[in-house]
Amino acid sequence: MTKSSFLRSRWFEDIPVGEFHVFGSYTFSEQELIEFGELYAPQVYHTDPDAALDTRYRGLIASKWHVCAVWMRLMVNYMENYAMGVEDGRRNGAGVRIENLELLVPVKSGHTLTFSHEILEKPDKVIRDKWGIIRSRNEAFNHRGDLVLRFVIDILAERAPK
Amino acid sequence: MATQTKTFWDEIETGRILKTGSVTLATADIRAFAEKFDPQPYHLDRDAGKDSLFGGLCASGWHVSAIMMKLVSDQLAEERIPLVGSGKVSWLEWYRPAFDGDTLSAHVTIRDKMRPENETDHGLIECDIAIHNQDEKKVMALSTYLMIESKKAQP
Repeated sequence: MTKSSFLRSRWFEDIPVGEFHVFGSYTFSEQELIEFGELYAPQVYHTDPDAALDTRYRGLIASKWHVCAVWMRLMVNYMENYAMGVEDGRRNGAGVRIENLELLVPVKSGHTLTFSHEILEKPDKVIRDKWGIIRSRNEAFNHRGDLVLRFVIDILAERAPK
Repeated sequence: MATQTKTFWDEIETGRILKTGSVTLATADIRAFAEKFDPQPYHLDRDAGKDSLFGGLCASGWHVSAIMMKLVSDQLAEERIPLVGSGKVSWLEWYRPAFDGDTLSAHVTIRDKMRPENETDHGLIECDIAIHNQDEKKVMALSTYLMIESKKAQP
């Protein structure tokens, strides 16, 4: 983690539509599934391995919001590496909108997901004088090659000073 | 959860609004979530937060999503509505930051209900969910489908 007070990013203008990256993989453990479930998603199929066997999932599964949180962690790591050496003060912005977020296949303990993202478009809109919107399609595939997670997200990126 | 007290999918009325309890965001909780899942300076450090576009130490948007899930889960349990899974999130928007000390609560509006093909043990409800802070300002909203156990699954 950087010691600076913000995470760096490329300028809005320097992020090309069509860019595609596989940006990380993650293996979920049973303990992590239960910890997240107990804090935020207390259904038995997220918190109790035995009781989960009697549900439609036939075992413990990750909360959709847990899988999304892991996406965020891998994205932060990726952005850190991508903007390594950038020292001119530009910074990344916030996520503002998500569309069509779906968890299509259950994620169980021991499953490994591989995350990718593709820049779809840069809507022609300026926010608070200095931010542009980067729209990306994000997907995760499991170890069997099944598409597990997908969503489209709009994230702010700082525009280069004129 | 005693079977006879459950409110099944079949009995849920569209148009109904569920009001959840509330949760106050502790600095330690914001940092703990951020360290694990979203270690950006404005979720970890007060000064970095002040210097950011948010203007203060604030929770990760995904932390707010997770808190929404907890608030909604607890309210459904309270009302004996058996949640058995969830479907697509059609859209979700973050409107303003949730700072430490803010108190968040949610309103769940049941827009529609439908039975998925080839499923008899549950039905779907389409919900609009809005999260507000203590000043009634909207922090986040989403539209999603929740899977609710159906009466027909009972022996």
